[in-house]
Amino acid sequence: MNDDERRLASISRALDLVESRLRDRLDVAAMAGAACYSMFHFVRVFTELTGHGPYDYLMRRRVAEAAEEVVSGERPLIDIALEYDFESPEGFARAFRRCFGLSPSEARKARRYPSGLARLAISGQYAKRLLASGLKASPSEEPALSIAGSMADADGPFAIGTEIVVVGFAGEGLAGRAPSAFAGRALGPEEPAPAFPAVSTVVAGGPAVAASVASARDSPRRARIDVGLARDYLYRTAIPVAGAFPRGDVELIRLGPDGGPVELVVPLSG
Amino acid sequence: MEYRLERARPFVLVGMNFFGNPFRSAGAWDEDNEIGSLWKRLMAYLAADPGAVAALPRGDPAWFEAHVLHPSSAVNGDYEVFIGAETAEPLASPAACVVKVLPAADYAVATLRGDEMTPGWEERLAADALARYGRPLARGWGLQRYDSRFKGLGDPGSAFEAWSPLVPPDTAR
Repeated sequence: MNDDERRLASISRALDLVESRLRDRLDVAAMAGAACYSMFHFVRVFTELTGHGPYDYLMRRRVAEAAEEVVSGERPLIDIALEYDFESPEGFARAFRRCFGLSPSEARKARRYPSGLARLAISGQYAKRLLASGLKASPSEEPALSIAGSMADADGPFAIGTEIVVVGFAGEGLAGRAPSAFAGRALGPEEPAPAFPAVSTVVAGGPAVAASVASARDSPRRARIDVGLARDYLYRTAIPVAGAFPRGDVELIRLGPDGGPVELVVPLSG
Repeated sequence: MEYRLERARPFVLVGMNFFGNPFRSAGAWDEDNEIGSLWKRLMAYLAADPGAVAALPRGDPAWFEAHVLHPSSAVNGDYEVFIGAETAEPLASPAACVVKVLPAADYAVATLRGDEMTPGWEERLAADALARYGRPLARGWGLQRYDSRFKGLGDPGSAFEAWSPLVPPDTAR
């Protein structure tokens, strides 16, 4: 067993403890104890391997589990709050808003919440995958983009020469449409749209967060990323931990010269 | 690793501190974690005003990075990181700095060089303590001491000292 495997095994015990105690009193000292680490070492290793501080993870897991009951049932919110070890409905409401951008009562009234931001349970296997992927999130300021291309399946395959894929979300599609994806090439600032393909789309610029393999970020041959893992990491970890929310209209997948995905960019609101 | 025991050693340090999870921002998207930011903040302050603090040894101070648990640490994992140097004139410290007093304790001191600085050294020291000193480490705080021997993490010619307080003899079992 190497150092990484030992660390993953220790943190897995803490992750398992969280899942078994979502409705019970649990503190970070007990999580560190399950990992057989000192508090200092545990906080560092847990944060490195999961992207969450241990307390942040515990609270997000509780809110994520409670959210399902909030929107699907009729139980009083105070009962749900107390069941998940929140000391008051106000504390639960603050945590809920921090996770989802709306209050539990608003979510109940709408019968929905942005479940794509909910922190699903992290398993030791997931933490291992994340560590092995080398994925890192970085803030970016994305320019407005004009993209010439064509409609595509979000999962590919894409036409040769495709540099960027714009994944639009249903109901808030690009240029009035609701496409699954639009794949093509970003036009230069003064570059006119080509005669063929005739279709183009515009993506608004603004603050964003990008996931890529950090060691390869400035390399001409950037490493491929696992888009599913990157998506999970950005929406459920990096963006929430930073206290931000996704804009929710599109996301961008940049492709490398070989057509493989090298970066996932999620525009942020505000 | 080289080991030694420092008996009944108190500390009066002047420097700057941070309270929270120092790795949270790096886990999100900053290059630096809060410990790196704290070092930069202190060094920038001292570079701008070299005589601001009476750090010891004079002219070539040794820097201590202290990690200190607070009562709330057990609940949420947040703790204090303090970086500073020993001082004989704590009351002359500038308002931008804080003074950290650590009570006298017996310290297990280990010198770590090059590859020995890889993550996990704290746990290796803790595992060795009982056999080496006859008592476990007290986990309420710990110190790392950096002087001119430190060239950077992983540098084969680099070294720093880990100062880990031992549980007092009368309470150790």
